Amino acid sequence: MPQSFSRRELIKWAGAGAGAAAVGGGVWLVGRDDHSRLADMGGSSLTTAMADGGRANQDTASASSAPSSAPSSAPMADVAAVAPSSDLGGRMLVVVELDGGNDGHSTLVPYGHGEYYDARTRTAVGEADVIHLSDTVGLHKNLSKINRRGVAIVQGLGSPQPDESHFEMLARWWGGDPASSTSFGTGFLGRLADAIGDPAAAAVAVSIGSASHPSMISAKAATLCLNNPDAFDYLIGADPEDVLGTAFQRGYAEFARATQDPVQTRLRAVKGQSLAFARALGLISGEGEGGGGDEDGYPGSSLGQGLRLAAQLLDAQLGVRIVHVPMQEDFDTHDDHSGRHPGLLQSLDDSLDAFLADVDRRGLADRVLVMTTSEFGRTLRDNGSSGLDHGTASAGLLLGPVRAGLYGEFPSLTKLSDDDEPIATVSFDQYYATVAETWFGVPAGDVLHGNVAPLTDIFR
Amino acid sequence: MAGHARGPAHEHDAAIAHILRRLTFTVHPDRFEQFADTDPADAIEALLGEDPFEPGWPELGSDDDNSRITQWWLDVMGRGDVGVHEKMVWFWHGHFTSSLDKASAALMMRQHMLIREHALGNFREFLRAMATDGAMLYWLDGAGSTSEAPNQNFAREAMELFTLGRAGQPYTEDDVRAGATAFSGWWVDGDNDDEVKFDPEAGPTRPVELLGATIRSGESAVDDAVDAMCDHPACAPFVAGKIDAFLTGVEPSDERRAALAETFADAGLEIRPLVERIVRDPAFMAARSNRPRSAVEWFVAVQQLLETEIDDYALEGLGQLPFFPPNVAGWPGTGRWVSAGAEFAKAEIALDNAGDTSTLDPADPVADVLRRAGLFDVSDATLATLRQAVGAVEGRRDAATLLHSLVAVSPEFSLA
Repeated sequence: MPQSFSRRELIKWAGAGAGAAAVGGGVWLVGRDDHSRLADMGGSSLTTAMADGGRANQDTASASSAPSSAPSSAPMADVAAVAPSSDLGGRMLVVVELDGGNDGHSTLVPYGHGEYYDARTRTAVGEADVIHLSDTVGLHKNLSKINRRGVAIVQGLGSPQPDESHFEMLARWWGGDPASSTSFGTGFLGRLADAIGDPAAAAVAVSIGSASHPSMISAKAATLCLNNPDAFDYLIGADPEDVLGTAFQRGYAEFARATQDPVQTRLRAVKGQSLAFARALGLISGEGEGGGGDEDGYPGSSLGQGLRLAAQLLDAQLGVRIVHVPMQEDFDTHDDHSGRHPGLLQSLDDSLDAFLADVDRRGLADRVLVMTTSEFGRTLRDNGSSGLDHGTASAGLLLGPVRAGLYGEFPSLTKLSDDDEPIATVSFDQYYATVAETWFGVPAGDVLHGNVAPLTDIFR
Repeated sequence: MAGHARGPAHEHDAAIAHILRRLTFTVHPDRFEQFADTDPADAIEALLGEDPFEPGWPELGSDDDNSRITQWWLDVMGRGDVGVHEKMVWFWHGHFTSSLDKASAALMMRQHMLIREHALGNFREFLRAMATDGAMLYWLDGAGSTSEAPNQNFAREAMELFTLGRAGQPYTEDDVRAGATAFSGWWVDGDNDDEVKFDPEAGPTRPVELLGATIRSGESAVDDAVDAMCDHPACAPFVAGKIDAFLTGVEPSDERRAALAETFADAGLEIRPLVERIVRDPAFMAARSNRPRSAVEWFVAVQQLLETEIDDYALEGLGQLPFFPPNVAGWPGTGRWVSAGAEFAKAEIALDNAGDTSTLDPADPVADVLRRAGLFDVSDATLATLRQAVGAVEGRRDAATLLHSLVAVSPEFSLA
């Protein structure tokens, strides 16, 4: 359902940031200032860098295994490799947002780097808890399920101009500009929806678990934020014997009709959008999909439930191509990092594993890509509360028809920034460009500023 | 009803309704009656002149405390005798945020009472009180922060979100580090009724430079740090602009922001004179229905319209729970309240709770329900829908339920 509100209205009402001044007409099609991107990194940030010859991922055995044990170069045994669907128009994306700033070094652990253990006297992950991927880095063992399925790990992911504010960095990720939170009036996922979506679809992109999300702001594609998907039956489908309910729904449907009144335009358009989506959810529910119990393996967590619904939406042929699922567990580990973080990874692992199994059962495994995002990593050194403050480079995870392994370049733990933090080697617009261009076939320049080159070779 | 009367009486009612929506939470019938013959400008003065409402404490000590204090506050907001002070209490909760996610209901209530004390008082004293408030110390990880490896969270957010903002880069990472040192040493004594205390050995032991000011060591560091932030030239415009946007629904121009900042600074950062200036300005009356109601505003208004108490759990679906800001920034922006997702929640709330209203004037039920809703600027399309609905059901009970629930989800009712 195309929207007809002006960009100025979007900007006027888009809630972008704390006390933010008006966005001021950032027209996203215009190029921005050329910020030197990672100029000091040299060479290989854009190419596939399989660190230290590591290729396939494997479970590690015991604490005593020396870091020099060469990882096998055989592909993973448990899961058949899946090539991505050749039909670009059928490809879909699920974005799992890790709220609060996920510590990259506890996710992809540099167990082979002494500086890591020197810096983190209270929060380091012991080598026994690491699945070796190479001589120097490995995955936290609580991600063993996704490791078995095959995960592409983007190292050193961050911004060339890092900022330590949640709000600022979230706004940059949602908007899709590593240097600024205000250069776009739309969200990155909204622009992607504009580029790939069917204009007639009830919703091209859906965000689950919040009543409103800036990443979903689009210029024309229908996008939707859904806090409680079950409430659709107030808007549609009343039994004709229910005179009151029927009359209410009729009145609501009239409120959704466009009028000439400019103030009412957006308000009524949003009601129309709600109705279209209610009809779609009604169809999903009618097929008996709703509420699966323990049989489908999804945890009862917010992420588990959200990913189940994501699978249903993607399989329902509604034109939904993108689903955004905030994990809704707190990664902002300023204190007690070691007590909190492993459980977060476990929760992530369980839910992603259930989702990938579901996608496979539905015959969608070759066309659904999962990516994780998080506003920043965490400090190299721990703080006095056995925690980690806001940092820079983190690790991004891609799952689905990907070539498992390490991408980008692990950030140096010795050559640090002026703030004594690791410097990102992959800018997150490159991460986004990879998804836009290599996965969806949308030129990066259509959805991102400047000339962003995607990472290569991630998809089979 | 032949058309809708747009004479002076109607205009008066529309103006009063606007004032009540903006300076309280509902167009309460008691208030409406109070101002039936009052000029809008005099109604504003009357509201400004009132003493703050002082509620008693809610009863605590059960497993249900979180819900209890939330319902308690929502009930206060819905009263017919609360005014400007009450609205500002709500504003400050979204500014000096803290959450039940990290603090007990008892600590959040203490903070809430602090907010009530300072809501129209002095901003510097307010900030000082919040810097060592128990709930805030937990929320922004100040509790137990030591100067050896101080936690940066409060110092950063205090500058970014509470005092200076980011425009023009008023502070540096060095300031964040200095601020972290300055605020260290405070802790919450869980063995002694959560009393907040200072530990000189954990606190700053040497002076630091923050925003160009020297911060002494020891317990005075927090006072010095608060002064440094309040005295910074970015503080008055930042805070004044935010209050202005809250009351008028519009981000101020640079000129207006500067002028309001001057008022605020000249008043020694007293909040009341700033608020008075904003609401007496013609821009306030011109701001009628120019922004969506936030979830809580809509919820409190709907509770009053439907004459019933609605479980505060419903607010989760609307995306805003008092005492549970999603992050330190609170609930910024107004566009977030207009969303398809919230529509689902509103329809559910409206239809489930409209069965207990009084019945409507059979001579003109539509005019009656609109008056109860405080809606006087209603589009022809909405009027047509409501009139059509009258004939769709039989009996006055069902007609009242239907009309009330439709008004609750109407485009007009979603505006502040």
